[in-house]
Amino acid sequence: MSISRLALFAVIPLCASCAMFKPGPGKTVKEFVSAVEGGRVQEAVLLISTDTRTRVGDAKLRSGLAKTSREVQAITDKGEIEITDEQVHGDLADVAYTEKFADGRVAKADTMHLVKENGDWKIVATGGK
Amino acid sequence: MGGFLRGRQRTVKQPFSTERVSLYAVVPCKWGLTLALCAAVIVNAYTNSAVVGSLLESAPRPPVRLDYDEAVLRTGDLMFRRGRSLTSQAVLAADRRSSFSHVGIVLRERGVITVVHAAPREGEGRGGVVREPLRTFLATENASEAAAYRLRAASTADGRRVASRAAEAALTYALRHVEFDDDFDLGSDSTVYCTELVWRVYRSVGVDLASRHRDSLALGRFARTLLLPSTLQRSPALMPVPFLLPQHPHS
Repeated sequence: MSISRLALFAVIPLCASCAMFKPGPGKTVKEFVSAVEGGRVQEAVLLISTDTRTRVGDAKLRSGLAKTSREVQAITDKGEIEITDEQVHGDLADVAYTEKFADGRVAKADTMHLVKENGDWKIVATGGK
Repeated sequence: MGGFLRGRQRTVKQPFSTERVSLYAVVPCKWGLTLALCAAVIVNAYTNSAVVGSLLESAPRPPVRLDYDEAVLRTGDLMFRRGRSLTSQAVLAADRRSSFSHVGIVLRERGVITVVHAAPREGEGRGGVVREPLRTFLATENASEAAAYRLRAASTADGRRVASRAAEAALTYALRHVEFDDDFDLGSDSTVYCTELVWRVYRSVGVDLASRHRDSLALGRFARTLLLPSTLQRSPALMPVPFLLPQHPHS
């Protein structure tokens, strides 16, 4: 075994523990939608920004997301979520996505706004009108 | 050699336990295998200690009991709180004292202070509109921050009557066991959420604490127009009531 291969073994743990493999904003959006669809409400809440969680409250978010989750689970022809655009501006990001029915029709097209907190992308969900 | 190593062991100061591994690195090795493996172990030890360090930094701080002077509270006051689950993260928020996630309305009867509020059903909790003692509402496990607000007009006898009628209206929701509104729908009072309850009961006595302001919550399929506690808190019709005392670490 060459020294270069051995060096590779030494580098892998370093890379695995650094931020280079942390998911991007699009991955966070996919994980969030997947968690809601799968009924993993607490997992979904943890993908929401601290500011939103502080303003709305975890209990209310869990309650609302749980109901949405039940509604989504009742839909039998769920398709997949597709990220259509991902714009990153420093610690802020906009992710456009579509949710499709199983036959390919678009069920919902929307954009989520995200903020980077401690290296992780979190969904910003509140605003004023 | 052994004396040299012992001397090195005494002088080397490492923030993590890589000392023994580092010593192997000074021993001549033929194939580079030992050096490579040692490098990997050192890197692991370093990164693991960094991970542990960051976890320790973000670990929840010891709960702080909220000490307050309940003598200053009156019927109709609004009691805001922030839950315990975000204690560690919330210190990062720039506007931490103005970010409350829950609100109820104070009832003072024969010196006993209770809070009427609408809460989601969680675990053993009943949920819906409930009336509970102030000390429960602000218990360490429920509240990491709190603030009390009062109708500005309550400095007059008429204003105090308005605040009392609002509180009595809130009590009727509790007596009817109105359920929590998972839809966050402001259009119906058959179910209510915390901010909606306070807004409705005050609106029923002629005070609109939100005017036309509405907040939006957009989480994919879970998208709602609602009122957040911070919107009520900013109402020009309200003023803060200093009721919190200096905090002490919970024993």
